[in-house]
Amino acid sequence: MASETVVTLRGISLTYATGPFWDRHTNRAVDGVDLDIASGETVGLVGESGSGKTTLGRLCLGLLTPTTGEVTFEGLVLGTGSRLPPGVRAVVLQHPEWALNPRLKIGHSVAEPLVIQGRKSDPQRHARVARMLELVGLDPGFARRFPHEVSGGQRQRIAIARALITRPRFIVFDEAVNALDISMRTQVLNLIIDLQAEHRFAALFISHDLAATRYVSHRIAVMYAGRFVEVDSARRFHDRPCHPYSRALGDEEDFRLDGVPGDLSPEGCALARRCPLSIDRCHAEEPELRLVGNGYAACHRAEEVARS
Amino acid sequence: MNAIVRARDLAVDYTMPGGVVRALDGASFELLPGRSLGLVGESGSGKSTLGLAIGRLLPANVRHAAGDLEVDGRSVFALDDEGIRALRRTSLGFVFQSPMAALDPTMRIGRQITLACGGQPDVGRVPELLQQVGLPKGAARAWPHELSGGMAQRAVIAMAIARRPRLLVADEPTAALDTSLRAQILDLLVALKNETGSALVLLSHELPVVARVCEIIGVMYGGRVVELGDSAGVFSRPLHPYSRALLATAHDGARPGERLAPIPGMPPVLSGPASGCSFAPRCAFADERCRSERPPLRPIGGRLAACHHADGTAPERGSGMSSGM
Ligand SMILES: Nc1ncnc2c1ncn2[C@@H]1O[C@H](COP(=O)(O)OP(=O)(O)OP(=O)(O)O)[C@@H](O)[C@H]1O
Ligand SMILES: Nc1ncnc2c1ncn2[C@@H]1O[C@H](COP(=O)(O)OP(=O)(O)OP(=O)(O)O)[C@@H](O)[C@H]1O
Ligand code: SF4
Ligand SMILES: [Mg+2]
Ligand SMILES: [Mg+2]
Repeated sequence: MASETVVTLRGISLTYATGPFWDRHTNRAVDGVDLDIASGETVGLVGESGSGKTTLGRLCLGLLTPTTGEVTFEGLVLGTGSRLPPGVRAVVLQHPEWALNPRLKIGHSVAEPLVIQGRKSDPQRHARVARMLELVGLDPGFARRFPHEVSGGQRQRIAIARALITRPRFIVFDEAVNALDISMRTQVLNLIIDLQAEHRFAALFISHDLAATRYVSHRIAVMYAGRFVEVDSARRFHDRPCHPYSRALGDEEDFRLDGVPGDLSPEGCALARRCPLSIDRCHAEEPELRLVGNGYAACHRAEEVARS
Repeated sequence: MNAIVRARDLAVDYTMPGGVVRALDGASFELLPGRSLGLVGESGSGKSTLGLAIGRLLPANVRHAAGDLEVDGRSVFALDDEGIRALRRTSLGFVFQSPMAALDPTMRIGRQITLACGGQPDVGRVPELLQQVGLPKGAARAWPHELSGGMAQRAVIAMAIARRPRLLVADEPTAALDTSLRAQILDLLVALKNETGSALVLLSHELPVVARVCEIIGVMYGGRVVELGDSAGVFSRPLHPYSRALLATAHDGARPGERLAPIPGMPPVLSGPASGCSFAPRCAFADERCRSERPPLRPIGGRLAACHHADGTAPERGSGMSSGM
């Protein structure tokens, strides 16, 4: 099926500046990222804590303005005064307690995207909220509770119900299932897969859980220190990732990283100090994201990794 | 030796204008000093409620309906406000499920850890704690909103262990962390326990996490501890049908193209004591007795299980799930 691109990132970087002007610290959280997400496609984004996943998700949604580069949503460049209609984008935040208004009952919060879309008088609204709650494994009675009156995993599922209810065209799931037990997680992931098959939304699925990410995603992007180090189809990524860092994420003995997270090499490959495969070239020359097999990897030794 | 924490038939309700939710429905367990207990169970099974009850940190709409919970032999429900504060200060450490809610948005991380240490720690203590949880020194200067999700979680862990509590209650401490950091944090908790002899209650929905760190596993369902025993035993040969279902779903993920199946049915929402076994509607072994008579937590095969059919009289039918993986 031909699918059109929904979100396009071109040369995206983002630098956070903190501290007062006489003691400025800058932190390049995202560095030169290109990505297309098509309708009906889920791109999985994995990488260690602090690698820039949440930041990239916020950039895709237009919630942050890139320091350099351009984000396009269905042909519209974001941040140039152009406005998207409400309800076409949705997000499940990493901290669901921020996503739900503490003063609104859950039924109200879940229905809110419908209301914003101007479907306030939809007679089906209550029924749709109840149905959506059921789909995420919650008794419809939860609609009458407040966000602080539910458990952590229940709150996470309420945030997911809220994101899915308007049939948005693009959804960012940021660690959206990490509070769920494996059975509930499976149920919610199946729901995402089924709704996507029906409504063909594009999605960015951010998670540190490799198994869950592979399960819902068509393609996987692996992030390290703000850059993509590997982008490949979920199937090939499952069979043999070709970046040492992807292998380390998969907990493979031979690829265990040395040192501490955040110990970035100043020159060459950011991973050079920690990578068990690094050679002199890695410390001197920065690897480009290039075609390796059918996917992309940024590693001087990617071919060898792919064979091992 | 006396238990550091012991719950006996603890029942706790949340009252809301619209009704009552029974979050704990007769939960029992005990833990000796210096030992580690992992409580696993699905979303809504009562883990956080039980964890909060240990420090009497439950919200105001809570009603202590029945049973008791003792820390160091003293009922937390009987202590006066000063007593419970003293207990929290001197003996308990908490890692809450939502790290962002536990951090003060108006205070730098370093200051918050300093306060958690008791106000005036030795120089070097804050950097040491940061390093232990894998955060860079510079994180001390950061505001909570400048941290990524996993960094915030680790900052909260640093605060919880700052005073080397005798009992650490950690609620999903690694939910936001990748594999290598998770291993580092879990190793840290174990090292802390071994060094200082503190006890650990780890609440998690991930059985493998708990099995890796804890000596004892308690499986929760519907506000009760339905199985309690040494970790290796529960993990390799679960007795309760829910434990078996939970273990059967604890896979490494699907092969490409494969579709996984959740445990069929919905978790219970109780408004009062369950009259029978609350797992009965989802259980492949359930019979009339299961639906009408509460199974007590009783010794079976060297551990405790709350199931009428757990003692081998249950027909061996696969994993006990009514639909397979
Ligand atoms: N508002 C902010 N101001 C300054 N720095 C920030 C801000 N938000 C994030 N950062 C920094 O940017 C980097 C990337 O953060 P981000 O939240 O994108 O990571 P992440 O990959 O989502 O990590 P996690 O898996 O822990 O959630 C981190 O070093 C973080 O400290
Ligand atoms: N403040 C509250 N008011 C009303 N009901 C509540 C409140 N807090 C929790 N509950 C309910 O009590 C039950 C147990 O909640 P608890 O938070 O203990 O579960 P949990 O096992 O920690 O779940 P999770 O894995 O999702 O965090 C749930 O059904 C929940 O909806
Ligand atoms: S008591 Fe009955 S219903 Fe409950 S777990 Fe055991 S067999 Fe199943
Ligand atoms: Mg994040
Ligand atoms: Mg909880």
